[in-house]
Amino acid sequence: MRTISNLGLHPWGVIIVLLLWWQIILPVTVFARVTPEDIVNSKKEAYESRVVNYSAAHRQNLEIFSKKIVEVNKKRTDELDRIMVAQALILDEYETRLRQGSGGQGRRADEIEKARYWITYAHEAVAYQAAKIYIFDLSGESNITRDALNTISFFQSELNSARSKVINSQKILTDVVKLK
Amino acid sequence: MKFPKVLIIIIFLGVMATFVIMSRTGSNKMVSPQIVSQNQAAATPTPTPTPVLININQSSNLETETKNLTPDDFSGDFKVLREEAGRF
Repeated sequence: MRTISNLGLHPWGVIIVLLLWWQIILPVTVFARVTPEDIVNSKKEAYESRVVNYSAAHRQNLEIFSKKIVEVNKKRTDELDRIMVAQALILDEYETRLRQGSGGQGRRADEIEKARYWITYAHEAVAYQAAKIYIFDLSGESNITRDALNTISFFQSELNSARSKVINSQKILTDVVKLK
Repeated sequence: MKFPKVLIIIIFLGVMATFVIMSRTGSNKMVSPQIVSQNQAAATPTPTPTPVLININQSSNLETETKNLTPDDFSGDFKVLREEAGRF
């Protein structure tokens, strides 16, 4: 404080100035959230700025390949989505039978709720995967095959992750419907 | 020269109040039009017909039906994609 005073600044004045700066800076840091959309846009920009320098044949190959990834993702997530709808139907039917039968749904309520939770969780994961957009992270025209393979590996790991969630909810549902 | 304490408190409160007002109005402004439109779209769901994979009725064996729902192995798709990438 002595040093600040020696400079001719009042300590409270310094605090107020710092507070004002904090007020200006903080909103920027708080609200500059990075959304998935921002990430996709920045990847798109990077891709477009690099692909311009590629040969026409390679550009076309990348475009066709990108469409194939979209097709595979759609085909597979549609299949997983249908499975999730079917799992939910089975659980509903199981619940209906319990209600109409011996009235044992009270005892099984926890198991049914658990299965419903994991079915919903897996269904959301599938919907999220269906909305994914894959953009090549290009490192150079000579590395085009490697870059494409990297994108495939990433896509495969994500699609398999959604699939494993579907299998997990299937196991939980099987355990529930086994209970008579 | 002493800075009046009341003035310091008033300035401090003013700064805080301004910050709160800015953060509230700012948070609304920061929502991109695309996100707003997505939220609006979510509020009015459009029916997407999903073909049902199974037909469940009173006589269905639920355990068997559940076991039949195992998703296909996707490795064949990725094998084809890798082969195509190799031809670049």
